Amino acid sequence: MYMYLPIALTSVNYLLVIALGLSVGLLSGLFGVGGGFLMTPLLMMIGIPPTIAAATDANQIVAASASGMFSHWRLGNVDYKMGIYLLLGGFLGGAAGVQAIKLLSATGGADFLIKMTYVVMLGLVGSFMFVESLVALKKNKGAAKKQTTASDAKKGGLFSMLPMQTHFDKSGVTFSALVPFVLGGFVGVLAAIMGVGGGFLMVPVMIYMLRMPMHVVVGTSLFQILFTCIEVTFLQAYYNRTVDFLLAILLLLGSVFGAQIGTMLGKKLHGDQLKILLSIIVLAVTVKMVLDIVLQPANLLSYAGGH
Amino acid sequence: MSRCKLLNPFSLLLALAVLIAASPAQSQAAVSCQTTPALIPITLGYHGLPVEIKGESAPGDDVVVKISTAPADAHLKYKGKAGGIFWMKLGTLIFKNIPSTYLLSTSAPIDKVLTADERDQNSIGFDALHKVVKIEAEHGDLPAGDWFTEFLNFKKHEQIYAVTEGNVQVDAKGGYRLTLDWPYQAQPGKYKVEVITARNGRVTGKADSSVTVEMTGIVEKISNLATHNRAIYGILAIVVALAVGFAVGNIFKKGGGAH
Repeated sequence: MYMYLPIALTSVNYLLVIALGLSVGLLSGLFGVGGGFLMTPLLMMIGIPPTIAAATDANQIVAASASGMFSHWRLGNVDYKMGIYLLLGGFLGGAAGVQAIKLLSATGGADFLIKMTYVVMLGLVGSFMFVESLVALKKNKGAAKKQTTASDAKKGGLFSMLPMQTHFDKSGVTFSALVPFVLGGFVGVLAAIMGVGGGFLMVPVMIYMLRMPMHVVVGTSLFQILFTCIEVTFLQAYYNRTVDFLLAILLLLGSVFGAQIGTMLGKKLHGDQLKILLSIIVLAVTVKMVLDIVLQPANLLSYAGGH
Repeated sequence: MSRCKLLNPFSLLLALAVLIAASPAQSQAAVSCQTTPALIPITLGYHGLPVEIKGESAPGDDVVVKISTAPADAHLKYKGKAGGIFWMKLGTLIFKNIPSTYLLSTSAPIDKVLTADERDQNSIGFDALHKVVKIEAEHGDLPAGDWFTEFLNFKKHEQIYAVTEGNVQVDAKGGYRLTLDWPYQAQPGKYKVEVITARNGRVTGKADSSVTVEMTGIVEKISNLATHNRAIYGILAIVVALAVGFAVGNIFKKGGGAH
């Protein structure tokens, strides 16, 4: 029942860890998010040091997103062109975010920035998605679908005035290539500050700002997350020695199956139902984080590292 | 000449008397200490291990068993209120001259086994540790707070600091035995096992042994790879994750779907 983790230097119940992987992988397949914003706190709750939890989570997301992306690729749900622009922006934004954290760590303000960014971003994204999905669900399905059509996206005023206008066939939208690049960069900055892959930020950006169809959003988000997490896994293993390979294997044993089940479940749910479910999860995490920073912690000391 | 002087009977007796008076060990009872196992291997299924410490002491003596690491400095982040509202990590505290693991077991309540002086002299109990630890902030002044109590709470939560009274069994012939569950949270390294016997609040004898905790097999190999071949380790972690991800994706190839 137990397995010793050579990097985390602790022993865990492997069935529990596989179950955690399964649950978070299910979210990954269902919503196209990496699940880092959920997995890292859950791993910390079972005794994994924060830095190991965050880095190892990136490693298991490689498996879950590869598994999910493979399914979506077979179904033709990945917009590679859009994904590459988002990814390029994300890499640059991520590098900028890492430098910002380094500067703030030196002045002692990093923890405050990270937690506040989490609460504000999760709160905003969760609330917006919840309200928007609720309104859409109340309307008829035809009206809800209409918002994700190419013709609507083309009406996006400012976007159409920018240079480098590009048509994204898979998503059926046309706007400047700078748009996904800049938005990807913005998400990359936030993802680096928050220590997560950025899926839960990227998905709303693709739905509401890039006006991509929901099924393409999930596949493309997984594509972007896959490459981001490959980069993070290598850098964390190489520079910080914080990737626990055995922990990652346990997690991915659960998450890859969870991702497949999530993809199948998603097939049976309407886009707005998916959005409202995701928004409820994001809001629940926000409430937990607010309580964590407002209520006095049980212990005022902790090991260095993590958030 | 000088050698003859040293060897005269009077000088020998005098030297012997001085030695006896100066060395408390000579007045102490013979105490033995045996730890089984002395080597705790960390294998893949490791989740702690039962450890037995036993030996002989003078009949009627109480027994104290202390398991600890060598004192060192511990750097820990501390949380405080930022802006008077939010609990945040505000900086680092350094706890100097304190063991990272401290497990104390006794045959009776510790304050009845040893006097406060004896406890302080032998670093027995948390109060004795409190007197030797020095707490400093990494930058600036030490923030207000009972940081030693916080340190104890943190270590107790990790199960690597504990004082357990009455769990050392002593028989009428002076034999003692302690069985404890070695905490899996205790990191690989060498741990000193000290046995102190006492009567009427005073130390009557001492013995020690050690326990070594070390990784073996696949656990050791992975740890070494992650430490000495970081690039290979990172690439391996990615390749395995990709292989598993695509393999499972292929197994479920009929199950995918769009939203």
